[in-house]
Amino acid sequence: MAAMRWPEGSVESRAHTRALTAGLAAAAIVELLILRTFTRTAIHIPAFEALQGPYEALALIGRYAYFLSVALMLLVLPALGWSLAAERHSGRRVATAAIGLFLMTSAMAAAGVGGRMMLDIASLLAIVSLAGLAAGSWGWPCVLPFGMLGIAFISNGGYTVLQTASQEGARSFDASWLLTGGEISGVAFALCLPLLARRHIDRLSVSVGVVVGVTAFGIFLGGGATTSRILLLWNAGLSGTLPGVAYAAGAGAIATSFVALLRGREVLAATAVALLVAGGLGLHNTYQTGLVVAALAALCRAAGGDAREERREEPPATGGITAATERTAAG
Amino acid sequence: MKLIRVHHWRPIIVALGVMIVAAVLQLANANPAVSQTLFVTAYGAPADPGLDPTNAAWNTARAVHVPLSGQLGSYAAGGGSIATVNLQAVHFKEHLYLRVSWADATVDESTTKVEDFSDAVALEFPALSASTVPSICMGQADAGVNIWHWRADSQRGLRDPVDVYAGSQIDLDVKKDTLFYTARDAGNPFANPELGAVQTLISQTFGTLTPANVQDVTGKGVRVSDSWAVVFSRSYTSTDFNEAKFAAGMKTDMAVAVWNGSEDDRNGRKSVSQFVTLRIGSAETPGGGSNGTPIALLAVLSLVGLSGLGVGLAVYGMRDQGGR
Repeated sequence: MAAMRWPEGSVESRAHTRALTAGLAAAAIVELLILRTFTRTAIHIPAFEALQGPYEALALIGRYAYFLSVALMLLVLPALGWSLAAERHSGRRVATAAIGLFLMTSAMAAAGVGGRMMLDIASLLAIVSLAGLAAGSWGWPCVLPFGMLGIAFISNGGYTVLQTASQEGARSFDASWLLTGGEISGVAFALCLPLLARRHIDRLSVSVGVVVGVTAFGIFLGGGATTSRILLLWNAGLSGTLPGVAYAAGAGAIATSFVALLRGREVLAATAVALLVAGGLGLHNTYQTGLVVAALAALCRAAGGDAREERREEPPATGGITAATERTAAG
Repeated sequence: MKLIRVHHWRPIIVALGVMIVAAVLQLANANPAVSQTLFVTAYGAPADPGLDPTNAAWNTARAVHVPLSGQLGSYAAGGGSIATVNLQAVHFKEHLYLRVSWADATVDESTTKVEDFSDAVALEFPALSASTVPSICMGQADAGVNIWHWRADSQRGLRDPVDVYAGSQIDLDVKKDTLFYTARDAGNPFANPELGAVQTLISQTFGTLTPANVQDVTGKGVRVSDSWAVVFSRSYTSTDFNEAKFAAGMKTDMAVAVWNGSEDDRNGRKSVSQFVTLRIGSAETPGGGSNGTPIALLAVLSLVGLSGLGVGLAVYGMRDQGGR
């Protein structure tokens, strides 16, 4: 039986996995900022024709960041799957299976094998499984954000699946109410996200969140409101039908969570938040879905041994007991 | 020492390898990611469906409900009164036929009065020269879009102002004097409906929308109950170098915009979709929809099952891990 066990994986290999995941998040954020945001808003620059050369150079860099993210994802997902399987908890093996299922169906779809419905359902299966496992790993208060994320994906992705079913021969019917549900639960997820970092939230993280939220609200109120909503649709998969203050508060909550996790030295969890932002909500393409799968897998991992290792690698924080310390003490 | 040195170099080798793979993928334009947006498949029609939206060919063509929202991408925008459109597609002898239908209780097909606006629909594709997926808002500098625009007023034709302004007193017969039809005299396509109900346009960002050199898209709209149904048609290839190109087995992005005249929709004020994927299938519509109920049931059961799975795994994870 012992021979059937997964190898534990060295501390060094897990550190490499974390480094790769951080690299993926950095590349994905650069791609989000340049390719999905700048190249689509540059039209507002006055006398844009004179800047055609720099624009094309930046667009090229943005496209390179995209392909870099794709190449990194092909390493990160198997690495995360492997490191989760190496943990002793059997639930983590389910997470590995979910990652494997997504990778397999995505590869099949890229090769033109298998139907779209299979890909969509497998993607949702992977995301919902990982969200469920992450919720279980992070404990009761975090059921809310992970639950909202799961509902948002089931609603948005469910609409796509039903429309795909109609293309496969099922009766076609309008279920656009699912999109409304997805929109509300997507914003609710962002608002609940600070629960993940609740033990690390300090004055600085709240201040950053407030600045980001107020800035986002100002953009929504100001002349760029229309552009910000179309970017919201394009980048995050949200249609922007709710009041602007809801999205601004969501942006602030995400910023607070990110900074608080970083300051609490939960780097892998902070990386996962960045990946979730880059991935967006709903099914857009296997690249963005892959970012979400990687984020949730990283969050499952962050609730396990990685947080302890991250703390061991760095000097102790000044003041306040962290979640990782509590977990170490308890475990 | 040797082992330590190998370990030291491994991350650098991996990083370099990843960067080289990314560069190769970019140079080869080989994108391994697959679209997961809504899609509509154009299957082969057994006979020429023509431009009639009520042709029997459309009874078996599978429809996709595409959600729309208010136009939010340009200034002075708005709209959003049309919530969804039904999109169908077929092909016949290397001609693509697309049918768009949407509920609209009012018929707005006269724009003779300045306060009147026409019902209309447009389809948007990446232009042939696009190097990446363009911005859905009229394209972008390095990725233009090709737009097919049908207008109800262009299809109906010009109306005599005397008929529109009943009881008006006029000193001369304006119908015969082009001085009173400056747009028509200048060749504005909207003022010359005899050119056709559909215009083909090219755009590379806001403010660059212009008619394509070749006007080769045809279309026709009819009223079906309280809805509009419009069919667009074009051959797979166009003689215009920048228009969208189609081929059997290919996939391309496509978006829809709808204007509701009675809601004062015009220009940027409209209801728009995100990009959906248009797939051109090589075969005729399979199955005939006989297995529709099991597929729908499977889809619904999958979604319910997914919800249960998520909850189950959360509970299992807490017991397994002891929570955090």
